[in-house]
Order: sequence, then structure tokens, then C-alpha cells
Amino acid sequence: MISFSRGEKNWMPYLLFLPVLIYLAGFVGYPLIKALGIAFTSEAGKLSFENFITLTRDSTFWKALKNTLLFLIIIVPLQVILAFLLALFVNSRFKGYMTILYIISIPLALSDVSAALMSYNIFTSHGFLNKFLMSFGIIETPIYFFGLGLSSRAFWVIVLTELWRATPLVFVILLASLQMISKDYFEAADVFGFSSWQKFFYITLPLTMPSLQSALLIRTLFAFQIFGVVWLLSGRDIPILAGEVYYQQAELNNFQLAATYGFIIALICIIISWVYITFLKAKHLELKK
Amino acid sequence: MRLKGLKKYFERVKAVNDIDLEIRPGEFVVLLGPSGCGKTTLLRCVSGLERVTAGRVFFDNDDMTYLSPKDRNISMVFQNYAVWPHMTVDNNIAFPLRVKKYSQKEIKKRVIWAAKLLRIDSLLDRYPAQLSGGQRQRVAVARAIVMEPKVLLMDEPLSNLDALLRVRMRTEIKKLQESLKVTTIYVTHDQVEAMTMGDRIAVMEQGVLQQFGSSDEIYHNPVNTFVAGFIGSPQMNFIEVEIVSQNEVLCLRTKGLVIPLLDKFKDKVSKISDKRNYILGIRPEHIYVTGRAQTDQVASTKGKVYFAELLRSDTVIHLEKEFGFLVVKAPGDLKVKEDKELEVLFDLLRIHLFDKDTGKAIF
Amino acid sequence: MERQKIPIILKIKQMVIIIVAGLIVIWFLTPLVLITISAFALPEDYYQIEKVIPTHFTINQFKILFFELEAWRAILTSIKVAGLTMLFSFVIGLPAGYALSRYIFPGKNFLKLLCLATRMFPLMVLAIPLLIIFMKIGVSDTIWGVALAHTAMVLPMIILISSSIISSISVDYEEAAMIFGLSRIQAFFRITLQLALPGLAASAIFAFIISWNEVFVATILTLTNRTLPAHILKTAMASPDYYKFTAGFIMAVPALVFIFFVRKHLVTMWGISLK
Repeated sequence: MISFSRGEKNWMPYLLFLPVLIYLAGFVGYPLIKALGIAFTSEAGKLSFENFITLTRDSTFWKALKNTLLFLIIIVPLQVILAFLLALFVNSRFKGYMTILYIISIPLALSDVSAALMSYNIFTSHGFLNKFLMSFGIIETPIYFFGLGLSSRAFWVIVLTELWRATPLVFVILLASLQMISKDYFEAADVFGFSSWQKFFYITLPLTMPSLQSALLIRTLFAFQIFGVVWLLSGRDIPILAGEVYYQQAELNNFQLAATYGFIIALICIIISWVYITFLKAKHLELKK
Repeated sequence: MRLKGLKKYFERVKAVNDIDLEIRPGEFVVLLGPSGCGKTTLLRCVSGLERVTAGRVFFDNDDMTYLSPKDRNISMVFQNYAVWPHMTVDNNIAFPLRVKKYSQKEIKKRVIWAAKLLRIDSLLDRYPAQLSGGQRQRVAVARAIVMEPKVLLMDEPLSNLDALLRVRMRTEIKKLQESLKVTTIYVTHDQVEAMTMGDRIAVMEQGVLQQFGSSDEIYHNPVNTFVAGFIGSPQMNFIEVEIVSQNEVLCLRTKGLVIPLLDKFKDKVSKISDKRNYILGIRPEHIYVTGRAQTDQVASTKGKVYFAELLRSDTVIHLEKEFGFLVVKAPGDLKVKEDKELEVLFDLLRIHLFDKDTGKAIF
Repeated sequence: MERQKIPIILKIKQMVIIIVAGLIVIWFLTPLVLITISAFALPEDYYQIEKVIPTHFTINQFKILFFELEAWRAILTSIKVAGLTMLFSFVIGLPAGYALSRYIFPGKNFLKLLCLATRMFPLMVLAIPLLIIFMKIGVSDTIWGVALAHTAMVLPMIILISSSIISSISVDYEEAAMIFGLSRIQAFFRITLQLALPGLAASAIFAFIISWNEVFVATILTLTNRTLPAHILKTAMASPDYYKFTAGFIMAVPALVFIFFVRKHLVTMWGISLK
């Protein structure tokens, strides 16, 4: 660390950070405030909760909330468990694990649009799944997954797609933290005669806990913003919060409601982060005592 | 070079606390001290990598205090060599010259000269990753001398080498400096390096200069217990004593030991009123085993041999006494048995007396 | 008896590893392979229910998608936006990354926290107000608007990643350069930057891909100047199936190619940025 901490170069780091601060203030801070403003402004232009009331009266809002939560509760835990298993597997460093690592990482480069289309490719009426099943005579007519009234089926396709697409994200975080656990701990455990299960429960799990928690948090926050996959595969049949933001703005040109939806998403995310941080911090303090 | 009232504070830590030093041209000065004493910080202040909090740095009466490193005409060898990994050895050494825009011919000439001097001329096309630690270190030194700087700075350059290489490089660097006659400041925590290489040694502790002198002065006339204890291996023996008068002779006394003071020391002591809090210092090599004394001005004492380190080149005896342990350095061929009583002789000319509270030397 | 046991256990372990690895490969690669097939398949083959795997291939739908359905324009827009995002985020973010890495100063932790917080924040909430702001300035529905929005998304990550990369390059190299005649800035450009280039390049490509893939903000902010994902969202679902697959393929390919080149840095980058 070069520390020109006294004298004229004191202002250097601040100067270097200035563009960032200006940028964030202008393109994040200001819009944020504006969003707040719009959400709390009525049609007439006055400060009010009107938008929120409209929202709560709209059944679509509650459906959207329910669906988003549903996706979250089903997808996120599954992802984390799957990712953890994958990370443990890859971390055992078998021959060729690097290649497997790259393959698992491929979905990181894909957008949810691509992933959605890939799922569509498989599950649509002329898709590979149906063709495959029919050629083996397992079914006579194609199974429809998408379309009006089939939202429950589409739901599961979406779950599967998200699982495929987003598990690698969690995987990478967990793998990084697994790799950081020093081999010494395991060698010491071997000397003391620990079994594999014991090693996992007493060494691996506790040491990966912080990483698991932050991975869980991040995935949860992102899950609230689920959009592309759902919109492409089921349109508005399965309303979700982010989708409603888009719908209100693009189709209905209703900036107020769109912003209100956005605000609610943000609020939920902040609350969750707050809860997580407080919860985690409390634990840390306990440990330190 | 002159350092005047140099101070460097990091928040509340006084890394360098009011240091004054005068260094002669062509001198090899060693900054010696334990980790955290401020020697590296001082070096960095001289180099300009660190901004001083107060004080001044002069090179030949030019005030360098606020100049950036590149304008000071100095060179530095870093502890981890800092040899740029993406450049060949040739380019590494040539770098300072290229920056100063020397001609291609001149650059080539100097690089080969420096490389030959450090015996790495066969490695010029290699990349640092292909070299051993010792070779990389020599590249760092070559790079430092190639443009004949006004001042050469070295920050513990030998500490990452293995013991054998270190001894060899000590001589090489010292010889190099003698032939180039460049003013050098060398930082180390190894007192052997300091004693063998330094024309003068500046001993530092907690940011304060303890003593600045030749190896001779520092060894024979340490100004306080810190310097006395830091120089010399095994460490000097420190024994708490009081000054008493025995049979009209001034003596230093503690449980199990009485040392008479020679006349030449009497004057220094006679002015003192409180006769209680003193520390007697004597180096293990100045306590002799009976029959191996180097002078006849001795005082004897007896103790039980607690442990003997048979180094064969020497024998270091830990003698159990009433006041603690006495460490004695004896010839290697001495046969010593543990738990046996042994008589040793204190060389009365070589004793030191320190004030217990301040640690300052009285003689 | 012990000696005979061990090879068998090893063999079973090996088999299990191979099976699991195989399953992983199938799970992750199948959708990719399938969409590639579909992208190039002849529509007639696609609509024939009996044919599981098409036998005839064509690049016809690529041509049509590109030109008649104007996909090439969307692709170009995406490239421009992603390129701008990459540029902006680095010009603004790299100095900040350097500051975080090399300096100790009051407020450093706060700034780090700020970056993390921005990263975790649902930036889609910004899409609406940004649209309004952009309409006022006049950059809505332009590549500049989308690029600015994307930069806001990517900036915190670039700062943290470049800070980490620069930290991994010892300060000694810069200091040595400063001793031997360079100023601080020169030392940064001639020494540190060169050494950091591979990592920084990888993160630049990463920023590019994130912008390329981003669909929500891009859709809201654009009407005529659409990026590829926005374009697909609005048009592809209405068109026949085979176009959908071709479009999906087009979206995936560049990203995959890029990722292949930076695969070595993948784990480190995502690991850092998502911590």
C-alpha cells in the first residue's frame, strides 16, 4: 500500500472515486428518488398513497406477488442445494474436473431470454420432448406445456429453466469458498480419525456457512426480479412483479403504477437484506463473545 | 547526505521520531534494528516513497524533502526484488536508462557492464520467472547500479536468500559498493550483516535513533542496554547490582557476585548518590574459564553448569547463579559437564554499567 | 484380502464419478445442442412430428431473421450498447478500483459497501424513472440511454473486480518504477496495467456479456432502437417457432464464444463480484 497519507496527495483517492460518485448519484441516486416520487404521486399530481391503494385492490397484484414468492420458495432452496452438491463434487478434484467446471459455467454467459427459448425448444408441442416421447409410442398426441389455461404446467417448465440457468451462479460462489478451505484442516482431521461424514459436518459445512448465506441472500434478491423466462414462456398468464412493471409501462403507459410496482420490489429486497444482515451480524457477535 | 529532524507519523504511530543523521559521501551506512523499529520507514522517507511528516532530507545541501522519487537520482533494491516479471533481465536492467533517455549504444554498454559485474551476463534474455531467487536478486542490484545513482538504498536485500547464499552475497555487495564508491544506506535486522558490512551503523528502536557509530564503537561502547543487548551473540549478560563499598574498594554487588571496580571507572561512579539501581553488563566472550583468561584483571565467581551448548567451534555455558543465569562463551575444545561446579573469571576491563531506570550507559 | 478390496472400491468410485460427470454434462449441454439443431433445421422437418431429429438443415431462417426481420439491426445495437457499457464502466470504474486497492483513506469501507449495495439492489426499479429522465434529456430510445443504464448496473462490479486484480499485483513493481524514473501515473500505465491486462480484459468481456444479455431495462428504455434481447421479447414470440430458435441461438453464440476465451478467469470473477 502506497500511503501518501500526509501532504498534497491526500485528495488523490477521492479524486479517483469522484467520477463514480457523480455517476451513481446521477444515474442511480436521482432516479431512485424520482421513482419514489412517482410512486407516491397521484394522477392529479399530489402526494398520496393512491397508487398503492389501486395496487392492493387489483387482484393481479396479489397474483403477481404470490407467483413471485412461489417461484422463490421453490427455486432458490433447490438451487442452493444443487449448487452445493455440484461444488462439493467438483471440489474433489477428480481427473478432468476443470472441463466439468467450464461446462457447468456455461449458463453464466446466457441471458434468460436464451434459456427461455431453449426450454421452449424442448417443451413446445413440436419440441424435442414431445417428438421423443411420441416416437417411442409413450404418448399419442403431444403434451402441451404452454398456452392459455396451462399455466400450472408452464410454471414447472419455468422452474426447471431457472434451475438450469441460475444454479451455476450459486455454484461458482460456493466453489470459490470451498476452494479456500485449507487442506490442513482435513489432514489434521484424518490424523485424528474423522470419518468422511464427520469431516463434512464439522469442517466443510461450518466453513462454507458464510458463503452459503450470502449466496442464499443474493439468489433471493435476484429471484424477486424474475422476468425474462416467465414473460417469454407464459406471457401474462403467470403474472410476476417485474412483469407487471413492464406491462404497466410498455402496454398501458401507466408510469405511476409501473413505478409503484418497482418500488414494491425494491422495498421487499431492502427488507430482506436488512433482515439477513441483522441476523448474520447478530450471529457474528455471538461467536465473538 | 543529511537527515534533519525527520519525523514520520502514521495516525498515532510514530514510526520515525525525530531522527538526525549525517552520512559521508561514499559511506556504507546500515540502519539496524528489530522489526517495527522504523528503519524501513526511514529508508522510504529518504527515497521519497513515503512523505515525511516533518523534518528535511538533504543530498549535498540540496533539499530533497518534497521531491518525488524519480527526481532524486537514487536507486533502490527492494526486499522482494521487484524485478518486473513481464520484462526480460536485459530490459529490467536497461529500464532506468531508457526512462532517462540514454542513447541505445550507451544503454547497451552499461547494461553489459552491470550484468558482468553481477555475473548475470549470460541471463540477459531470460524472464524473471525462469531465474532462481539469488539470480533475481542480482538483477535487482544490477538494475540499481546501472545508472550510477547518487545514493543507493537497500531494503533487507538478503533476507529472502538461504544462509549460504546470504554470506556470499554479503561480501559481493560490500565489495561492489567499495569499488563503485556510491553512498549507500542498507536496512537490516541482522546484526552480523550490519557489523560486517557497515562503515557506520545506526541502531534504531521504536522510531528513535539509539546510536550511530562504527562497529567498533557500537560493540565496545554501547550507549544503552538496548544497543548493548542487540549487538553480539550470544546476548550480553545483564545483572542487577548495587554499588557498595567493601574494604574501601567500590564494588558492584548482588547475590552471589562481587565485582570490584577498577580505578578508571571509579570517577564515573563516585558522583552517583543512589547506589542501588544499576545493571552490570558483560559479554559472554569476556567471561573466561579458569586457565583461559586473556588478562589478569579478573574477578572470579562460581556456579553450577545448567546447560552447555557444544557448538564445537565454541562452547556456550549456561551457569546457574543465585541471581539467575550467566552465559559464558568458552573455547570449543573445553570439556564441560552438566551439574558440575565451574569457576569463571570476569574481565574487569570489559564490564559495562547501565542505569537501571533509563538504560543509559555509565561506562 | 485388504489388497483385493482397495482396487474394487477405487473402481466403483471411478464409475460413480464418471456417471455423475456424465449426467452433469448431459444436463448442461443438452439444451444448447438442441437449440443449435433447431436453429438450423428446415421448417418442414421441424413440423413433421415423426422426425425427432431433423435431417435437413438450412441457414435460410438466419437470412430471413437477419434481413427481413431486421435482426441485424438489433444485433448491431446490442453490440454498440455493450461496447459503450464496457467503455464507460472501465473509464469510470478502473480509477476507483485503483484507489480502493492502493490507498488507505477514511471512508474506504463505506465506498466498498456502497458498491456492494448497488450490486445487490434491484436496478429494475430504476428503469421507469430513467426512462422519464432520458426522455427529458433526449436520449431515450437511443444506444446512449441503454448504455448509461447498463453502466450503472455493471459499474460496482467492475470497481470491485479491478480493485482485486490490481491488489494482486505487488505494489513493489510500481514503487520500483517510481524510483527508477517514472511518475506514479506513468508507473501505473507502463507496469501495473500491463501486468493486470489479462484479468482486466476478462472482466471487460464480462461487462460486455452482461450488457448483451440484459433484457428488462433494455426493453423498457427502447422502442425502435432495440437491443437483441428486447427485440426478441417483443417480436420473436409472435413469429413462427423456427425463428424463435434461430434467435435464441444467435443470442447465445457470441456469449459462449467470449466465455470460452476467458474461462480461466470465470470462477474468480463471478466469485468476487457476487460476494
